[in-house]
Amino acid sequence: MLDIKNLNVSVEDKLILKNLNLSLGKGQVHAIMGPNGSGKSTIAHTLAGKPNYDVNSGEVSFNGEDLLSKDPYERSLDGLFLAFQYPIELPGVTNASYLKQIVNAHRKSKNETPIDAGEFLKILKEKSKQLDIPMDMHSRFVNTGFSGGEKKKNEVLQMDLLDPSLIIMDETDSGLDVDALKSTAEAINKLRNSDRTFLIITHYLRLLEYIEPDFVHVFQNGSVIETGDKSLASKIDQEGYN
Amino acid sequence: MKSAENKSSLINFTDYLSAKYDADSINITHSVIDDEVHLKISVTNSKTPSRLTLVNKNTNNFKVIAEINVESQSSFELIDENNYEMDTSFKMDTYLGDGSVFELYRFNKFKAETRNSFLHTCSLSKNSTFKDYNFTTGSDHTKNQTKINLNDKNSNYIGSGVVISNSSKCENYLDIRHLSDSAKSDCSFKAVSRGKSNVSFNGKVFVDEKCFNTVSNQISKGLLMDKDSKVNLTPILEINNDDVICSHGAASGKADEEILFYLASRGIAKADAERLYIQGFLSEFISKIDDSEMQTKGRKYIIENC
Amino acid sequence: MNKVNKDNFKQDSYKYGFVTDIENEKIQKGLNEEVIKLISMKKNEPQWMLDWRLAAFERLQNMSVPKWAKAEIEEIDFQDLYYYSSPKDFKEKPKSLDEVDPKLLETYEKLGIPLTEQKVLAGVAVDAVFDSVSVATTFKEKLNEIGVIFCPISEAIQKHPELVKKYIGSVIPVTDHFYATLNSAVFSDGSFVYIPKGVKCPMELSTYFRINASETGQFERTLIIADEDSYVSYLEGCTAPMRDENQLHAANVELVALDNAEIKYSTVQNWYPGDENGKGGIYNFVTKRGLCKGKNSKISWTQIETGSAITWKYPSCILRGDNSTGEFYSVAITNNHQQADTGTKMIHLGKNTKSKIISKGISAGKSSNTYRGLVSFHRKAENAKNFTQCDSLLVGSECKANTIPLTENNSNSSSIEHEATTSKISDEQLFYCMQRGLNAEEAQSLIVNGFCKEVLQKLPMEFAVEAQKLVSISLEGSVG
Repeated sequence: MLDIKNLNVSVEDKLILKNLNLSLGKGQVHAIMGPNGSGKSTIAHTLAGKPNYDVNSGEVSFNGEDLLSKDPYERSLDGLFLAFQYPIELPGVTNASYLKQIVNAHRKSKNETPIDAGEFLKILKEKSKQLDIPMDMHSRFVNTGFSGGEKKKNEVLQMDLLDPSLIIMDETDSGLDVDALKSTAEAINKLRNSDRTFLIITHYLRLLEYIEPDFVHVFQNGSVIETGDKSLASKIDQEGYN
Repeated sequence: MKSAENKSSLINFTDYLSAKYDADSINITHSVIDDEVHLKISVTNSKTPSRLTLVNKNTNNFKVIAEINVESQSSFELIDENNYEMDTSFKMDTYLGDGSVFELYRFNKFKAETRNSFLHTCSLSKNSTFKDYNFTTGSDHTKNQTKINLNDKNSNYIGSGVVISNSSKCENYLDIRHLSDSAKSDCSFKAVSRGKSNVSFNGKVFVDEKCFNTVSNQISKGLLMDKDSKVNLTPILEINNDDVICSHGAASGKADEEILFYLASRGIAKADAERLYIQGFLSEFISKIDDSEMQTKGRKYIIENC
Repeated sequence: MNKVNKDNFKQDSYKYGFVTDIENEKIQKGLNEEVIKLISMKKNEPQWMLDWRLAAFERLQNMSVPKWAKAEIEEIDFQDLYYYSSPKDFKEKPKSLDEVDPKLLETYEKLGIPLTEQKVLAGVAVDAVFDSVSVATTFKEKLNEIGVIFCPISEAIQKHPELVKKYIGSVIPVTDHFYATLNSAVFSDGSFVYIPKGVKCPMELSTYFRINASETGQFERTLIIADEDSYVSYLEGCTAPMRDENQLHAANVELVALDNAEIKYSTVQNWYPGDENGKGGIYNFVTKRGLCKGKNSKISWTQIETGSAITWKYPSCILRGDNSTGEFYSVAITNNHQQADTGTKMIHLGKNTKSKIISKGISAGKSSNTYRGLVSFHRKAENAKNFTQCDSLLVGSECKANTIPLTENNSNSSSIEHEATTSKISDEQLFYCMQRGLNAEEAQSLIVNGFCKEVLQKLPMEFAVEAQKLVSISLEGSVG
């Protein structure tokens, strides 16, 4: 469902991704592991269409369509979800109104009517409960003053609400203690199904102990140098990237 | 950082004004026209910071016009640590070459009943830095004006002003002009207004069109110690493009009663408690001076004059 | 392709830009004693009012247009303006809404301001000023029952001369500055509010101003008096048709709060801002000032400024009563070639007086947005306090944002705190919102509304939603 072919990307004139090739099938869970500073987050940002990530050459097709020519919000509406390593704070914007607005943006693109306030509240309550999110978090401003755990939970909540077909997780384990990591991973596992594809970008094995990947790719010097199954992750954890 | 004192030469401009300086890297020409001392100072490639210290003998009104040229990759420190008992007028034009560093330290104590003015225009080239420290006290009427032109990329202005005013009028103007992209400015001004003092600070930051990646911070604070004391703070931002991060803050008010009470409860007399308070208020800014020798001078200045 | 381009915010078509085709009766162009006498006569004013106007006109002869604002203003030919325009049917002022020209009512319907009794449901009493004449005031009777006077100032001059005489010009002296003096000489109408002792006005009072006629200056005058222990919340809204020439609007608003009284004054200003090339639009030169005359009184200004080619206004508070409070909450949005020079003055005279200023400026396009403020503590303002927060948000590389706050502290027991920031709209925030499916415009509007939240919250509930939409519309345009 996602095909990356010979992708070359530079940021501020520095070439970061060099001839990257990667193919993700429907319902599969892929993990990309790489050392710190190797630019693996660039993959996530490029796929989501972050400004200032210049694609020099290469192609990406997402569900058969050219991904790279689309605006970031179009990619989102097409079903691509990026869970941010550092979720952005939106001061003055209450979480509830923000969540409702993004849900309605997705409904509109499917020619559905905007969700009414009562129904939305019901869904929000239900999903918040599953994620152990207190409702008063929704009257606070988006991610503003949230703890690391709260921010990641809020990302998972958005994932759940938007029902994406491709979830890219950028260092989702960073800044989480063991308990928070475990509960975040459990919540993500609940979102796994045969239609949904995951791309997990991480430095450590620990997240992959909770979310078992089907494929593990080792990323170094701008491209994938090795691909294997879950055992490759353990091997790297023991032996390091060299 | 230090330049060895023994290397320095002495030059007399007039019978009341002379300077100690590092002759290796500093070249001075001077002339006296109608009582005014005209100096041309140029600083050439110097590995250690070159230093020039003004020495004043107070027999005459001080009128100096200086043109300073710090050539590229050079470092220069100008120190004016004098007690002036006559009127003063000091005008400086400074040009900083690529990658140069200029540090100005003015620890000045003026005699009451005098009028003093200082006007400095400093233009900065690529990668140059100007660290500007002004300490003023005494004087019936002081006017400090500093104009900074950040002309090229990565030029950097760090400025601090301290005013301890005792029943006097003290006007301070700082005009920082960001004329190139990627320049930085950071300035802080702190004033203590005592007796019938009227201290004003007018700090303007101008960012020209297309000056992207500009960072500028400005803070001004005034402490009013007595019933008739006045402080007027005017921090102005004039921004002409969107790629900037600018902030400014201004605050004025009296000393915190609770702190003064705390000190009193420990047996410290009111006047001493107030002095301690002022020292605390001003020293926040002293720690910004990198040079430890100058930092010590700054602390000493505050203790002696507050 | 995936770059968010914020430089091309195009003006959304100005929704209120239509012209109502109504015959107007105008007094000949120009400014002279005869014109002033005519205005006064049309209004059937008593001699003292005419004398007051003429005195102002005499002072005007030696005054010139103020130049302090950071705005490029084309010179105005004050002799080439109409100073009075009235819908022709209004020789006799309509006694009830049934007598008002249906076309006029239609105009207000289009503006979203139904002058019908339905508005009672929203709990809002409305006075509508069309060009220079008050056309309808709703709920007069209901308000009368509790002693609240809410009527056109022309009517108050007739019916409550003692109140008008006592307070008009008491906050903004006739000689204050050119436009204030001009207004004093030629003002045509506006709203008058009096809240008697001990009355908390149970509904929002609201005036909608509309400039329709061309080449006409609008000079309305509003006077609000809150007597001891009273409370009132007042809201004004403004729109104008799209015309190529600049139109002048120079209003005076005076507020007086006596002991323990509170006045909350909100403005949603959406005068026509001109087209995207800066052609046309309203010159909005307004003097607004409140006097906290009594002890423990409070005046709070909230303004949402999105319209006008040039806005030039500084709603201010004179805090004379001990323990009185002044507040100023402002959102000023400029786009295209708009220029706004706005802010406030807080003059602390009494003991324990407090003021708070929250200003949010947003500049987009080639516009220029200036905050200009003064906080002044007089020597006798013991224990006075001020807090000021001024934030500017920049959208696009050609806009300008200025912050010019003056602080004068002459009272050593008092404290002033001022904070200001200027930064561009965050690319990170935009990208985050877009990653969740919002297009660039929606993302922008969400972030800007968040930026303004603190001020929007201060608006009366009924108008908060309207204002939020207006904030979005003002910045709407193509993002490519």
